[in-house]
Amino acid sequence: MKFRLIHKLTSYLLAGTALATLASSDTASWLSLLVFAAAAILSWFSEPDTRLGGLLDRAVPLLNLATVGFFALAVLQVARSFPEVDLSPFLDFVLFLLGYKLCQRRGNRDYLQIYILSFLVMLAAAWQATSALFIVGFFLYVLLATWTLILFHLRREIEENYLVRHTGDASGARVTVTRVLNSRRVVGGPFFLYTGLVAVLVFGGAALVFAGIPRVGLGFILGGVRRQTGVAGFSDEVKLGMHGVLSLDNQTVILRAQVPRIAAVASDDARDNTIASLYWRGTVYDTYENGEWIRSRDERTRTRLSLYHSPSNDGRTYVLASPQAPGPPPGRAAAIIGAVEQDIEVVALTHAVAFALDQPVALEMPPPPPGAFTAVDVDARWSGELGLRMFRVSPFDGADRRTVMPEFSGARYRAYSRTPRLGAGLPESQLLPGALSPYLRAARSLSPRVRELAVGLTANKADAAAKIDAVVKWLQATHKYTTDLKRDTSVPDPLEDFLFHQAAGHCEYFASAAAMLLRMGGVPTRYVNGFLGGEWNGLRQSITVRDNRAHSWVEAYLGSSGWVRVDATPAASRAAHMTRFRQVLDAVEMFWNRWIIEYSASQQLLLARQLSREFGWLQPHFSPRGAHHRASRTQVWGVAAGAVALVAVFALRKLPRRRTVRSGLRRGWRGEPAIFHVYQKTLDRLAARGFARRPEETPHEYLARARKQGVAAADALAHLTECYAEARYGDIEVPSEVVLQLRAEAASIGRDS
Amino acid sequence: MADLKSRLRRWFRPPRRFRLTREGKWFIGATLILGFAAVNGGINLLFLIFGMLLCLLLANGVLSEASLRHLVVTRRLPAAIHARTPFLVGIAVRNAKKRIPTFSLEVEDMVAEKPVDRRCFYLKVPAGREQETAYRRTLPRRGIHRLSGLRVSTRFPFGLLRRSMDVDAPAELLVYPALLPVTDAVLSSGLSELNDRQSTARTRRGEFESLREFRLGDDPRDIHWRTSARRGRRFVRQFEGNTGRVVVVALDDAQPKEPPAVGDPSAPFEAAVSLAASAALVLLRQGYQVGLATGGAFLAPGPGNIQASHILRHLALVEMRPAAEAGQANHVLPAALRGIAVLRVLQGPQAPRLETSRPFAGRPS
Repeated sequence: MKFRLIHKLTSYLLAGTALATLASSDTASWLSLLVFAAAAILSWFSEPDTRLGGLLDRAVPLLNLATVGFFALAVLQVARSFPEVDLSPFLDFVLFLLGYKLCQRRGNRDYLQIYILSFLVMLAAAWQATSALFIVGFFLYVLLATWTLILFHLRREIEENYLVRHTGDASGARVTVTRVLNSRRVVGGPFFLYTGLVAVLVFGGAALVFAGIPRVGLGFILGGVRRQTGVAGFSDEVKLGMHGVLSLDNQTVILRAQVPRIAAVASDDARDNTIASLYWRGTVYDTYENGEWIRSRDERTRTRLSLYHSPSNDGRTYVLASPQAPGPPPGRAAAIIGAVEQDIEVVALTHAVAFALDQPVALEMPPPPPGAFTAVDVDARWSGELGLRMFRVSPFDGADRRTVMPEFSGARYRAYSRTPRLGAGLPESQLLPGALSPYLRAARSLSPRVRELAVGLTANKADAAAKIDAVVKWLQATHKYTTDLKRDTSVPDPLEDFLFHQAAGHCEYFASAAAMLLRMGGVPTRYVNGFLGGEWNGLRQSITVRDNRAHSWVEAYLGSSGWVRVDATPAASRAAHMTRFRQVLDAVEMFWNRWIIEYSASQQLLLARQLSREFGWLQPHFSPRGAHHRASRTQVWGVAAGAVALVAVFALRKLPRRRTVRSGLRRGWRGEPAIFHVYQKTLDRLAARGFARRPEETPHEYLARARKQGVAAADALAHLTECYAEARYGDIEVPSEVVLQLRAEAASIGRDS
Repeated sequence: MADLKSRLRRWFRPPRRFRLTREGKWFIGATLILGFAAVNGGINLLFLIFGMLLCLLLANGVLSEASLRHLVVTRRLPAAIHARTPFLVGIAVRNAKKRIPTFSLEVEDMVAEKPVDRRCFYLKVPAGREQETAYRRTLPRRGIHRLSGLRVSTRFPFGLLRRSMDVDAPAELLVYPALLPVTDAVLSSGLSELNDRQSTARTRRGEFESLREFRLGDDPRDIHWRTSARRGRRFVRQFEGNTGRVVVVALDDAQPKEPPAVGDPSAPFEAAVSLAASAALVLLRQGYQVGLATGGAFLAPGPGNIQASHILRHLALVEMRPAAEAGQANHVLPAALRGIAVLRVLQGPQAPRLETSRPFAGRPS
């Protein structure tokens, strides 16, 4: 392939890779990406000597004007976005410039600008990327950047240096740069192989730098910037019919949890069944009005938390206590012993809620990693709901002077849950007057018809449990589950529409109906949003919860049993197992999030400890015997792997030589043409017979002397000399069959007949 | 002392030199800024890109070193170099590596450990191959010109830094005097008359070249009678060299009593040396046997290219005699050569001039 074409191709691939990486990070709008892609395809054909190129050259003033206008617009848009600065208009501007430069690439300067703009695009992708796809794009980018920068450098050297060729006494003659740029001999397969290896090493080096640089989290200027993650639609209110429409196609991962108790289940089926029945409790609402659930923020509903500091580090444990169970909160040990332990990793949430299996009794927040400038903590909300807060860590501030940050990104914490929570409540008669009134408040927007229905369903029931049973049975008998919602707008309240006019709805409707009917029947209830079930990932031994598992249910107060979950939604079967491929993808994403996106000083320490343990660098003398043996075995394996790698390298070094010999003498010693070897052997043989070539003698002079001296088979020597001279001075490759023939003829040269 | 200095300099010379290019400075600046942003913001993927930039810098250093390794650089000089006349210096680079080609190589000649302003560029030297290119150079003065070595440098692969190594390749160039245009008319005005007078000394030892028609003034002994009889016209034999004619170029190498008020005081002498060299070459080309006489030396007359190189070598090294010696005898001719023609090259304030002398029996006036 011509040098010019290779350079152009790699440049385009570089820009394309940067663009694809950006697309994988969901940073730029698809419209911008499509427009840019169209411009890039068009620009491929925009050479200076083409009609399109001429047209674009004439349009340069217009394009410059458009560039200025685009820039002004971007500045205006960014200025308007204050104080929540949105830099995406600048990214669009960079894409515009990149497309423009691709269309107007006329010289080295344009190519250089293309590379700089591609790099900016890559930076933007790195700034926002959360997907593991980034690493694929990054590897390709490193590979292409290595090739492109080398080719760019060579091209510039050609254009700057390959201008004058001196011949004899004549004045310097200009060499056509085009001829060199169109050459197919400048770079070839070996060039890409060797430089590709360099790129792989650069990639590995980048990974080492990534892992090794201490995460000190200075935050000098920006105060530490964290990416904003967030997809799931949890908010401060739930509007029936407007929000919460389930999308079974939304595969966004919300959280991942490792639950040792579930991991220990031996049977896959049993585990899947267990996972399918897991309720991940999130937001809780106590007030319904006009088809909307909100929080009353009544102090009587405030979540009670007891904080326990870890004596060994800055870890915090929060123990939840029910407001409806006055008295001293349970101790930390009492709360967590026997509870289901979960290590939860929040992946994507817009509304920072601490999710945990129903019902959470304690949360352990890990200490901020060494060098981190942010940490996550818990704040008490209402009705047993827990919020997550991010705050800035400063070595100069005490624990009581934490600056809470407005934004929130991923977090990891450990939760403990227990179901049922025996003794979590008291009989209503023993509670303070009005303690449960927020959970008994009926909606004013509902007509008396709803109350009549509730009374009809719950009348003559002995206790709250019987009332719950009656309501749930009625709902499941009269309504079906659907996500294809219908709405009669003549009925103002969607819940009333669901109860009396629609025969189907989804979980929000079932939960809302159950909550309202039970309240009207005298049972305190609250509305809960969360997730139901999950997918087991055997590779990572974790449960993945996606957005399509969002669910709503009700909690009803049952005296001394406290708050009990009531799920009125008819059961819908959902797959709880991931395919192998999805398990791998999920494991990669989990690894990516944990070890790349959220890589911190604590993980650096962990990594260093693991490495030192694996290789025995810091093996303590008093280590247990088994551990010592394991480390030794690792060392042996390491040494063996190193030896195999060395042997492989040497074998690879030898391989081309052997292949050369087999493939018919195309190349001889030291990579020289084989004809050199044949000629030199002939000279050596003649020298041994007392007819050596003099140092100042040319091959042809030596041949003439040989003829004069009557050397045997001089014609063969003449043939050999001609071929050698052509190869040596004319750079003409001698075919291998000719070399073999010459070698046969050369055997007779100088030999006495 | 100078030799010791040069030796010391060679001893303490670093094996490689590095110089950041403009692009390299920008690259490092961008790397540092990005590193700061990554540390400040705690954005992990920026650390990855920061690592990539650092490793590209490292790869730049390693690959440029690999490019410079196992290279054999040789200089090829022309046979004759005249001052103020462009000549080509060939530089051959052999890549002794087995597999890896060398890209983007520059070689500069060095004088007193400093590179000259011209360089040779090699886009690609394949493994095990040699490539030669040349650069054009003009030296202003005659004499010995010393080259200390060669500087081999490369900006491969990314152009971020220029790595170079110095190769010891000492060489001495003998630069002949500059040549001036000397027409035959200038010389023939005086010499033709002298030639006639020294015809007794003329010999015809040159090789036969061809026949031509007789012209007035030709030696009747050269008539080729057989051809003349056959064609009906007289034809004479021509010989390759008219070696019968002998002339001595005598250079006025004394320092003038009144040097020029402005400019280089040695300029008249240098101009005279150039004229002497030019005249001697023209005469040799015309077939004369040419000798050279300066104040301190005499070169016996002789024909051909070898004599030309002797005369040029002598003139390349001749120096101006101090004014105190100017009154002494100028040219000493061996007794056997007395009576031959002498072409005197005299210094002049504006330009040197030529004078012809009749054959003399003693010292020239």
